[in-house]
Amino acid sequence: MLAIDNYAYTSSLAAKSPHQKVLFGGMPLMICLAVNSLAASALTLLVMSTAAVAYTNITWGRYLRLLVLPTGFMLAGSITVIFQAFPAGQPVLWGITMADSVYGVDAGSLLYGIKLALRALAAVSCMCFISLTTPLNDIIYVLRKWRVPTLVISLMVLIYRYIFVLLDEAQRLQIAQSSRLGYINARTALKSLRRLAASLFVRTFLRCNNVYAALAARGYQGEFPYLAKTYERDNKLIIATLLLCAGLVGAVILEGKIC
Amino acid sequence: MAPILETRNLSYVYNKDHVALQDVNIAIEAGKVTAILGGNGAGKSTLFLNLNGILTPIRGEVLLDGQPVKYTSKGIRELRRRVGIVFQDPNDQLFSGDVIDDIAFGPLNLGLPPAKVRELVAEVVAQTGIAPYVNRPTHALSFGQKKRVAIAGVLAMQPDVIILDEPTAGLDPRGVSDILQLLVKLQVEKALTIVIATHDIDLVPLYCDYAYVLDRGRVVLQGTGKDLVTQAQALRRHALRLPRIAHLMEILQKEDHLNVNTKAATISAARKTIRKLVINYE
Repeated sequence: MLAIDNYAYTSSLAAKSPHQKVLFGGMPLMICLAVNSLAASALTLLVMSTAAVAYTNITWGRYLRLLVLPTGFMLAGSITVIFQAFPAGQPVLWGITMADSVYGVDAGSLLYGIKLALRALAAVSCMCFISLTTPLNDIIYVLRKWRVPTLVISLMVLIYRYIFVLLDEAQRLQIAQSSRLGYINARTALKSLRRLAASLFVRTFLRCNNVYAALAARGYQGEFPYLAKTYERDNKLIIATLLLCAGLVGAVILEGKIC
Repeated sequence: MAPILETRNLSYVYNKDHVALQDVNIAIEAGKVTAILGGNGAGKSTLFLNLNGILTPIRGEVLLDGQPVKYTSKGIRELRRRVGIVFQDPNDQLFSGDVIDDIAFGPLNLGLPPAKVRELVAEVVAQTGIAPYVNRPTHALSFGQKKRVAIAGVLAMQPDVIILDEPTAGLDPRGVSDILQLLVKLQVEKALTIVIATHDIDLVPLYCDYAYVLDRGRVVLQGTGKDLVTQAQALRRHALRLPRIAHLMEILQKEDHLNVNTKAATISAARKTIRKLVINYE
């Protein structure tokens, strides 16, 4: 999470209009989710990944590692779709017959599973592009402009700020515990971890009071007002978005004709 | 001159039985630097929260420009605009990951138009010298940088009085002197009234015009910055100590029977009295 945050601030697109970046990632995301096409998903995955690696100082290796976790979830989900029970006698690619059913994979379920996994991966790559090139402060700004409810915005603002404070405190507590051999074996580690969690909770609660007092001292009235910002506009990004969307629609049509 | 901010018999009690402040009478002179000294748990923070209307006194009153504060939403808003607090831990105060958003928070809450807020933000950014890092996310700033941003966020509300809770705690020596210089500059340039809570007694003779000592919720000692810090007995009784220089003067007089000025609490005052001694000796 911290690494992603760093990439976003050092991306060569960091100063560009977040609206445009969110659209560049968001429009293909919508199309992929709407059409469920193998070609569209593959094209999106390819373009988003290339763009993310090209415009941030992330390496391909690190980028792919970023995708490993969601891919794991996706595979777990797809496997249950790919493996199905069929009535005995139905032709399958691979299967085990048990009683009067065949448990296995046929062409339809395989295609369905691959489509599903690729579509999900394409969606993840769109989100990765947005989060790797757009600092969270800018994403919050876009959501504000798009009139996302205040409650959601307030939560995002506070979580984004205090997650770092929390991580920092957790780290310091953990170091203090380790320096007194708190993690010397599994048993003590478990005990220390439990205490760490408890004391973080108490600290969070105390900090909550302080934060509220500090907000009230500056006239907090339940909202976080903000100033409008200006960003570099880049027509190339708009054109790229339109071209990509056109390409995706084209890919869908082509796929429809072939299959 | 009438004090800009004043408390009369201010008392505050937490949870019905924990007396945090008892009959506190302090008067903050406009344009001056006032120190509130006291050990941990003396009631400094409670006092500040009362001065800014976060807490409402149980007994007694807070006066702004000689007028008792009205605890209506309008009265509280006025109090909070004119009396700003910089909290001890900047992580408590900086709620936003975006530095500019954080600084703009106060003035926007006052209902100022965006153009005016933008102007104020630019002004305080220049004054506090934070321009090199305003575009960085808050969590990427150092402790000292966060402290400056916190000060900027309060200054942007154009307060008349700025209260700083332990402004030098947790800073390295360079950071301490930078912050203090900034405060002196603000006092002079903006005619700000400054209140500092601290247990760093060495600061008092150097920067503070007047000082109060709080102990267990009461004002136990007060005086001008230069006088107060030489009352060794009284300070020690209330968990404080003499400034190092004044302590040295005390020892030189008591142990070595040298005729030094025991009221010398700063380097320049000590230099003067020691020079005099040496010249007389020669």
